[in-house]
Amino acid sequence: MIRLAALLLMAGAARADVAAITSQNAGMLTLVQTENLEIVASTPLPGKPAAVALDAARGRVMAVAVETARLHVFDLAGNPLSDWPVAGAPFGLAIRPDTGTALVTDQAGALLREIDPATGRQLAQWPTGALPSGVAEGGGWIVVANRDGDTVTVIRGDAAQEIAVGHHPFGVTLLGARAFVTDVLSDQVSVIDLAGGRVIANIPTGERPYATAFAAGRGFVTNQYDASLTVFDEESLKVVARIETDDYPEGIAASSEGQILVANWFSDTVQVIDPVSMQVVETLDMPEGPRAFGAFTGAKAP
Amino acid sequence: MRKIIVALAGMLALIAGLGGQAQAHGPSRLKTDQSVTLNASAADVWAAIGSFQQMDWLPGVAKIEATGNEKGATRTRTLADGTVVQEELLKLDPAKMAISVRLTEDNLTYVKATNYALHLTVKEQGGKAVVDLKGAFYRAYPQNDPPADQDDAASTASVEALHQGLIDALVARFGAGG
Repeated sequence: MIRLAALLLMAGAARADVAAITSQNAGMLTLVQTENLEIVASTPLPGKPAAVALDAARGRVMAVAVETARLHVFDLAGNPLSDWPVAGAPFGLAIRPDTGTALVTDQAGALLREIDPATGRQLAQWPTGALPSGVAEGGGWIVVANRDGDTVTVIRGDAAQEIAVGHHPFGVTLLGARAFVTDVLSDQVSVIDLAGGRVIANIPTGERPYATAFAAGRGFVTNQYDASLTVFDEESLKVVARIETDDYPEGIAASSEGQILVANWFSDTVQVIDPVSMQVVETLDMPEGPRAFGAFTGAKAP
Repeated sequence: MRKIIVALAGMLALIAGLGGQAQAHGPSRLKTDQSVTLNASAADVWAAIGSFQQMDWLPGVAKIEATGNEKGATRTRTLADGTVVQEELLKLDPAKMAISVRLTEDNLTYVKATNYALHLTVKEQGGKAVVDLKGAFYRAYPQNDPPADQDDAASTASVEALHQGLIDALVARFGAGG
């Protein structure tokens, strides 16, 4: 066991993150090595993909193509492994770290489906509110943002609870036992205490907030219409800064090296932000319409 | 030609239908990007177009009633042909010479698109103003299986035609910069 831990530590030092970016208009998946910001693969991914998630432990990237209603599975070199039809209108995506299975929101059926990426078989389903969009999983919690229901669905084991939030909740990110939900038409993030099952704070954002990521003790929220990030302190939940980005920032995630990566849908770029200095340090060109909606970063095994 | 397109569309629908889940989802957001170089400085062009409250540079605008010139302001713009356009100012940044406006009510007479927003920026390039016009929108028909005149291609063409009208007005006023 100690030997295994030491091996893992050594491996950790040699690891580099991969960021998986879906370009919806171009129909492409781009893999970026975050250590040196090199594009390591660019793979066709048809069907207007938006949601993407990375399973570092199993070396997989998954993405949902909304127009063709398929779940695509790739390895971390960008090689397609399989793709499966998913019932209804699949949209949002998260990967359960314990099983490597895919959680996919079905906007037509108002359901969350759990799919085995090895077989395409459905393993479970849960009812959600209207137009379930983003989904996140962590610490035994599953949280779904129901865009047209103005609620989130919180699932833990066999129990499920619906909690009212702001108008048009879209993205959801977990930090410990809290969920951070972007209320697109309320220009705010709703902070939910998952154990208590209630909203404990609203954080004001710029116009049309889309998604949230955490690094260096701060939360970073993409504001689509404002071309900016709202930065807040993850403890006090107070806004501390605003960072200007390229146009229509959408998907956002942190790398394990401590960078923030933002996909800018309109400008066809990914920007890298130092969460400590809160400066944009790099801008990468992407195929048309990068959205990268989901937890799109993760460490690549050496 | 039209018949061929219809036949092709039918074939595509058939092929997609074999996949089982074709068009299960609604539309995805679209964008356009056009630009023009003008025979004037960026500052002069911005002085003309960098306002939400007046659009003297654009022919065919009969009346503008705006609540202000700050982000969040709204305006009712009446065109010479009677079309009424309801808009909101998303961004007005004189330092960056950037102005963004969105329609608060879809108006398919004005442009065959929904959730339409226009982002205008002016940049100086070799002493000339380059105006960049970016559109972000969804197709006119929000459900699946759009009619041919409201699909992705038709809506993109409609936005591009609207923006070409803006470009033509700028060229008429400032001259083409090469």
